[in-house]
Amino acid sequence: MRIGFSTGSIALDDVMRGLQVATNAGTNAIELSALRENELDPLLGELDGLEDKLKPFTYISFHAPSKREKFSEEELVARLRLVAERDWAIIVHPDLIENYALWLPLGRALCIENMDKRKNFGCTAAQLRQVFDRLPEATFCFDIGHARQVDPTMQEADALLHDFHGRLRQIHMSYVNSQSLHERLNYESIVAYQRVAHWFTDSIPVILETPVSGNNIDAEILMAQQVFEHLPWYCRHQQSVEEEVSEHVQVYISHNG
Amino acid sequence: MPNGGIDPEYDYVATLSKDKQKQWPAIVAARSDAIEVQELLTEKLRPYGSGDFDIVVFGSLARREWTSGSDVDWTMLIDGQASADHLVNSRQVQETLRSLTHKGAHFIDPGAEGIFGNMAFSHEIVHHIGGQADTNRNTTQRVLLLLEAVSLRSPGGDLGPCERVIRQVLYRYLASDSNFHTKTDQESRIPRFLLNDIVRYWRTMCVDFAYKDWEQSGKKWALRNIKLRTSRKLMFVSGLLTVFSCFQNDDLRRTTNVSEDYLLKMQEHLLKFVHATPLNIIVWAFQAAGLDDCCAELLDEYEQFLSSITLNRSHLAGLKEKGVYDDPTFLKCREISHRLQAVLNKAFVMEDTPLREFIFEYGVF
Repeated sequence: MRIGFSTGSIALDDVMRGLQVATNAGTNAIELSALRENELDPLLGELDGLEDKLKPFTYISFHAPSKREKFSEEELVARLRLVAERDWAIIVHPDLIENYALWLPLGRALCIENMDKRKNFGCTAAQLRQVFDRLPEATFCFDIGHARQVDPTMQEADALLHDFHGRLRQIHMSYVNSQSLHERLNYESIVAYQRVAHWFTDSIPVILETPVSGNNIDAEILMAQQVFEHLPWYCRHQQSVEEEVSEHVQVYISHNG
Repeated sequence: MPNGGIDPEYDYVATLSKDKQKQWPAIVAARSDAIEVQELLTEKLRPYGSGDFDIVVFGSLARREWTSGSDVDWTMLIDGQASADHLVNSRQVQETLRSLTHKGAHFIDPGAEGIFGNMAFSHEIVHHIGGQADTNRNTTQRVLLLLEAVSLRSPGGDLGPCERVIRQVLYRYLASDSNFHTKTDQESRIPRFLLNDIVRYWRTMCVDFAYKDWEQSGKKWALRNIKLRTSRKLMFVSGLLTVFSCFQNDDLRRTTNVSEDYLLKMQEHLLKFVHATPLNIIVWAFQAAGLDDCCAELLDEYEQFLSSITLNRSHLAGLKEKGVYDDPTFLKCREISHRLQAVLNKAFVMEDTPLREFIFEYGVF
C-alpha cells in the first residue's frame, strides 16, 4: 500500500523539511506542495536537485497553486509542463481552469480534485463531469474529506467514485471541518470513509493532508489504514507484511542465536 | 469592591494556603487527580473530537475536585453541520470511557437523566435562552458550560466548538440585556440576564432534587443531598460571584459610546471567570471583598467535605432515605454543610462589605 503526506500538511511551505520528516517516518508516497503561487518557481527550481531525496518514495505527486494572481493562465500551464514531463500527477483545483485548451496538452498528468463546500464549482459529480468532458485524458484526485463535508451521508462521494473511478489516480485524506479546515483524522471520518472504501484498490496512493507533527505521523497512518481494514486486498497486504516481518525475525534469531 | 479580573490559570487556593499557613490536602489532591484524569481523557478521546465537535466534561472533573468514585459527566458538543454519524461517534466515546481506568478503577457512567453521556447542539444552547424551547436539559447544558465545563481539547490556541459556544452564550446574555444599551452611564453595569439565569438554574437544581427523589424512589438520596448542600451550592456561589466581579468594578466602567466595544470588554471579563474553577473564583472574589478570613474558613469546611466524600461516597450512595437521619456519616456530612452555610451567611449578609451591598441590590429582588 502506498501512503504518505503532503509536504504542506507536515511542514507548511517548507518542502525540504516536509521531505525530511516524511523520509524519517518511512512513508512511501509524497505530494510536493506549491499551494501558494509564490512557492511554485522556487520548488520547480529545486526539482532536479531533489532526485536523491525523492528516491525513498514510490509515488510522487505535485500540488499546483490553488489561486492564480501573478501568473497568466498560459504562464502557469507552461510551468506545470515541467512537472508533467516527470510523469507525476499534478493536482489542480477545477476552478483554476478557464481556458481548457491550454490544459489539454498536460494529458493524464493533469489530476483534477473535487472541492469543499466553499467553492461554487467542482464539489459534485455533476460539476466535475463538465470538467472531465472537456479534459478527457485528465485523471482524478479524490479528496474524501471534501466529499464528506459536502455530503456527510457520503452519497456524493459514492457518485464521484462511481462516475470517475476509472480516472482515479490518488486519494486525499483528512477530516475537513465545517469551516473547511483540514484536521487530523477522527473516528467519525473513519466511519464515513469506510462506506466508500470498496472503490479503492491497493494501487491507488493515499496522500494525507492532516496537520501532524513528526511524532504523530505513525499514529496518523495507523488511523488512515482503518479505512481499508475490512477490504480483502488490505487484509492480504497486512498478512504479507506480517509474514515478511516474521521471516526477518527468524533470520535474525538464526544469525544471533 | 472588585477591580480587574481573575487569571483563570492562577491557583488562588494555593496562594491563600501559603498566606494563611493552612493545609487543605484533600483539595490539593482532588485538583491534582482531576488534572491527571483530564490529561488521560484528552489523549484517549482525541480521535472523537474535531473542529466541529468537542467532548466536554462537567462536574467534579471540570471543577478540578476529582475524588475516587466520581463519575465522568460528558457531552459531545456539536457546533457544525449535521451528520448522522455524530451518534455513532458519541456511542464510541461512551465505549472508550468504559474501557479506561484511573488508579485501577474504571470510570463511572454519567447519571440516568440523559443530560450527559449524549449529544448537545450549539444552536439550541445559544438560541433557546428562556421561552418554551429552553428545556430543563438545555438550561442545564448552557449554564453548566459557564459554571463547570472543560473541553477535552489538546492545547493549541484554536477556538474549538466549546469555546465558540461559550462566547456565543455570553454574547447573548450581554447583547440581549437592556442594561447594556444605555449610552450615558459611566458606572460599571451588572449582567442581570446572566445573573437571573444562574439563579434560576440553582433553583432548578433544588427543585430537581425533589423530582429525582420522586422519580428514582429515593435512590442515592443522601449522596445527592450532601452534594446539593456543598459542591453544587458552591458552584452556584461561584456564578453569583462571577456577576459580583462586575459590581462597581473600575476596570469595567463604560468609556465608549460604542455598545459593541463595551459588550466585548464585558465578554472578555466574564470569559476569564468561565475558565476559572469555582474554588478559585470564590477565593478571588472573597479577597476582593476583604473577606480573607471567611474564605479560609470556607475552604476548611470544603476540605472536610472532600475528605468525607472520598471515604464515604459509596456508603452515602447506598443509604435508604428512611433512617438516613440516624446514620452518623450522613449526619457528619450534614453538619459540614451547615457550617459551610454559616460561612456563606457571614460573607454574603452579615459582614459589611461590597458583597453584601451587591447581594441586597441584585441578589434578592
